[in-house]
Amino acid sequence: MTIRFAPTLYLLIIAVAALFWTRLDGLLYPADVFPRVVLVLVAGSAIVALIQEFIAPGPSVADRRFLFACAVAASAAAYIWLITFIGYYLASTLYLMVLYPLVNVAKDGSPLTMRLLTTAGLATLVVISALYVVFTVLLKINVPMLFSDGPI
Amino acid sequence: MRTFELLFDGFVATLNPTIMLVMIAAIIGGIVIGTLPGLTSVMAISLMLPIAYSLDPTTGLAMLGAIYCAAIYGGANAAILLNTPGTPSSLATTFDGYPMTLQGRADEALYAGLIASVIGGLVGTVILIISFEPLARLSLAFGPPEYFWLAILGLLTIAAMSTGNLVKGLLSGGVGLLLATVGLDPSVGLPRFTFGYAPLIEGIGMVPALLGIFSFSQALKLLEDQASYIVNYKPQKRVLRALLPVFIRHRLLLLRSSLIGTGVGILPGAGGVIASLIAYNEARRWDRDPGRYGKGAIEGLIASESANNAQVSGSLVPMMGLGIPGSANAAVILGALLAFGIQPGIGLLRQSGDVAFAFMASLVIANLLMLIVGAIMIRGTVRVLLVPSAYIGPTIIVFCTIGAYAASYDIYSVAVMAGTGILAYLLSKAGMPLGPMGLGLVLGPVAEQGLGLSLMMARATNSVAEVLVFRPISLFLIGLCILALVSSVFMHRKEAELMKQAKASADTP
Repeated sequence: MTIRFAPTLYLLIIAVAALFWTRLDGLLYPADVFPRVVLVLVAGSAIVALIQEFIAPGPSVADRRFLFACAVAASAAAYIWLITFIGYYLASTLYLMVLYPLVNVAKDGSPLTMRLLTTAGLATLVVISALYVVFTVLLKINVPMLFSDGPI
Repeated sequence: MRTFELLFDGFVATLNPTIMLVMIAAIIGGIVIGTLPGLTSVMAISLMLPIAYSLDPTTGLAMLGAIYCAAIYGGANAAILLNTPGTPSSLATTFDGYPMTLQGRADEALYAGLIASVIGGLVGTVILIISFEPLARLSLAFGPPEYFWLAILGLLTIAAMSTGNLVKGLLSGGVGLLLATVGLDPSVGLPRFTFGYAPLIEGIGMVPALLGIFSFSQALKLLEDQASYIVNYKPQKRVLRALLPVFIRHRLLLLRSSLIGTGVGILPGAGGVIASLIAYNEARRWDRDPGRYGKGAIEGLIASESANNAQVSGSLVPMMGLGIPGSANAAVILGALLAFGIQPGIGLLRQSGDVAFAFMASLVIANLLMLIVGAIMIRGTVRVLLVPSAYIGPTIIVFCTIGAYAASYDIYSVAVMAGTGILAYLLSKAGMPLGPMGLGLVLGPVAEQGLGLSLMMARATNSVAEVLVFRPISLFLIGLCILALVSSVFMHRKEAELMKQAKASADTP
């Protein structure tokens, strides 16, 4: 599948700039001056970029790999949402346990073997242990946890 | 004469084995924290404050100074190896550091970053020792208009970063500036562009947003990439020997960047990002072949790293001379000074000259120790390139999450990190460079605050030009801005001509 999304992105940016512009009226001077300049810059350069795109279209943003990256971005949103329920370390463990093998399969096209799952499990253990030692034990950062009175 | 006596005594006091051991531990901790994206030097220093209070003033301050220097340097490691600034100060280091890694020159980049940081730190500290009193007085001459022009000078780096397509660079920078306008405006303090969503009142945090723009988006790019490793890493031999002539050849660049770093550091609030960006831009402007920048030019890396470490000592100048901290880091160290019962300012030399000069001597020793400790740690750090990228990408996402959370202990910061990261990834897919976006985000608030306050001042005089333009330092900065603009237009033309010539010679059978 081929996705040409640069023109769509520029149009979206112009729309967002227009939306922000509508909010300028309620602002007191001089709080509105800088945003006005910035919005003109954003909308102006987006329009020029759009024209450039029509004159000389850039390379296509294609394929399965782009969609895979988008899927990972979406999964990150689910992971962040999960943190608020089960805490950082548990959510991260689950996330890495799932993502490591999936990325390996997606990158190399290699089958999902027991060895790959074991390596992913060990890598997760190492990363989560390192994070725990650095952030919780040494730096005393109050990370959201499932069984704590922390800020979940 | 008394200065030399105090300085000598300071060196003798700092060369105590206990203080040296404390400083080595602080340097190791500082490098680790600086390398981890999201953990800033301010966090490193403030975490060590309770330990510093439990020590005597000389040891405590030596520890805080060492961790400050090391954390700023440590940011370069992640910038070079993962295209992720470990601390915001290393933003400009990514421009040439990561391309060097991709060219198989990771060792060279890491050692060059270390040496440049050490030299920058030493130059800055020497300037601090010689001139902290008169320079601190000069910094008082900077008002909002001067800060505005200083930020504009930094923003002009966008033009330098936008190799190939200036419009896309401007658009990326504009998006960064737009993100910076969300939240409370700096002049009247009312919420802006929040669309009724209360958490947006606190704005788009700089640390989580930079993590998103440079780390999260980088993780997505790594996951998208078919290659199994970031780069086919092969250790380089005799790197230090090869770098020696490079540093001798670029001694003027080093000195200029270190002076820029110290000068910018002296200005309260300007910080390491502006210092390194201006130094980078100046390095590019003075170079005979500016087209190499952004593609692995070691000069860009040297300029950025020497400037941001020179800024460390610069930021201590107004803090020690006037009691005005030049950065958040200096503010934390000021807190430590006050907790030790030491009053900064003009009476510092009279009442606590021994501690003050021991602190400055410790900065010299900390930089020298950093050269040894850093060189040993590089051997371990570079091994991250031997890890398959299928494991690095997801790990970066998990690190970014905790880094963003640690910035404000709020899940909203994590959402900001992910949101800006996804936006940056999509912009990069349209061919937009991400450096300008980060630059806009960092310098936007500085420029806006300077402009807003200047316009308010202009209301009293009824003349915007008088307040904003016709001031000696403003005129000097405007001159520099014009010079930077003209030279970047000239450079873009030269680059286009060279491209045309190269294409023509390639087409000729």
